[in-house]
Amino acid sequence: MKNSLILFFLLLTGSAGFCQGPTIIGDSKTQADDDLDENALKDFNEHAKQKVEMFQNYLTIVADKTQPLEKRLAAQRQAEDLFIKGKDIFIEVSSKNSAKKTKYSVMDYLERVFNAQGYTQVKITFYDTCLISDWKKVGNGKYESVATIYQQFEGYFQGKLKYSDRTSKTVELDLDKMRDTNYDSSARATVLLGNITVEHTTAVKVN
Amino acid sequence: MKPLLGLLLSLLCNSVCGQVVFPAGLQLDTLIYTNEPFMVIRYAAPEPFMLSRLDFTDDFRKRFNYETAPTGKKMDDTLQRQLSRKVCLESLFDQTDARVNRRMNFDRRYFQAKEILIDQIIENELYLPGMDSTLYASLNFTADYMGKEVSGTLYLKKVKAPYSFRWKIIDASVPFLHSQKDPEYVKTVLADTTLKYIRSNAHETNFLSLYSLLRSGTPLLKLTDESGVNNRALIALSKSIQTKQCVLDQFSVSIFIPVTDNWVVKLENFTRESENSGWLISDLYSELSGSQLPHLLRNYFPGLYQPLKPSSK
Repeated sequence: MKNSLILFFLLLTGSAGFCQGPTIIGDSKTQADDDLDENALKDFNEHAKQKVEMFQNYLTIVADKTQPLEKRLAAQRQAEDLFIKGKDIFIEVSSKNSAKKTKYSVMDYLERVFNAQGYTQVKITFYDTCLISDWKKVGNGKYESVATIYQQFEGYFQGKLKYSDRTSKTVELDLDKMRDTNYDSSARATVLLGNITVEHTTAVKVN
Repeated sequence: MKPLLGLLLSLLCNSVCGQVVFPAGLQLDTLIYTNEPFMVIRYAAPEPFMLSRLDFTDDFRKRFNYETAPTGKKMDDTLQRQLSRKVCLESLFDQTDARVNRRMNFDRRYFQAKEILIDQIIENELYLPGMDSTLYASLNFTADYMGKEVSGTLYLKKVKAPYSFRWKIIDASVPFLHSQKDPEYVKTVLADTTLKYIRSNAHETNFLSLYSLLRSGTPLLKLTDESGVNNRALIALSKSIQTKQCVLDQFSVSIFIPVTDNWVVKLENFTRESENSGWLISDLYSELSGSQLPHLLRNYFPGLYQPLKPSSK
């Protein structure tokens, strides 16, 4: 049980800020039938980094039991909205104590983060290195890429360090047009998150 | 007594200034930490290994092609004057490999093959094209087969599709299964014309797409190339997965890249926290190296063990 509780925290990274809703960027010139040029794709690198950071932000709120319940539930919903819809998307978790990696659906994963217990304090170090691979065209107006992120996690119970590790994770990214009537009826491009996998997990010494 | 003293001290300090300051060496009860936030977020500059790691096979190609340095920086004229291509190429090899370490299990044949390959790449100015058209993979898996933990290997090839690339399963090594013919099963699988394929996105080496497809009931046989439907090992594996006798679990991936007709390099993902990490060369296949390519892949590299042609220069 303890191990499973530890696992739920392993993907938590990012800042404590509270971001509002998914960002839509691009303009009405971005049509699904068009290829995006190199500069446009570079812009989407920044957008992709923001999306990954938003997910990290939401997770820190979902897990934070000192935050108001409504805020945590809203963060949970907004985190879900960052992912590709209509496909089986997995989030993988790991532990330094086991080579096994476990996969959860996005909803199950967020639910587990929400209900996680076992620590009285969590410290997360977010490394300023969100590496985005080159975008690859996979369809008409559709591109895919991957982000790599590093994080250090420390979980304390009543002031004592109970678990710490450093993980590297990859986040699949889909770039596609999206029709969002909240903004206007024109087609806009946005980045959505896909599967998140753990590349490696190592023990760290904490001072 | 000490915990109680700590508690009193903290209450006093909190009520006066909101800050807790403890005399050095004083042991305090952990209850006093209640005013610390639950979640503490910190930011840190990336460590060198995070920037130099070859996270993606594209990173490997760029360093091979002398477009990026081992530090992860983009190459320019100044950097190229400081850093030879040989240094970049050497950094693509697993430096913990005992075969190239004179203090460990040094293997002169492998060491010389490595040196020859690097020299040939530099002399003949060899560059890798887009990786997508020339990738092969072996996927070692563990599985639960009727309550027993077993292991096997799938072999895959990246093929071009409209707009993108896909992985096709080309063969399998499944020693825990009896290979079998089953024309009726093959007919049933082929009767379903729904398009199913293993996506080859930027995260090409993870094969989560394969995991998802199998989990959703897609027959493995639908993910093979044309000859795969007559492959008895693949038929047996496909049936056992569909009937849930066999449940695939963990995957471990190796990538095979032909550098020339005579050389194939094997990449593995080294996940250590070191600057020499990520997708690195773990083996070389040629007439010179002494390593044998997995036999199920050998048909795809017919010139591999032919005598080397003399250098063009």
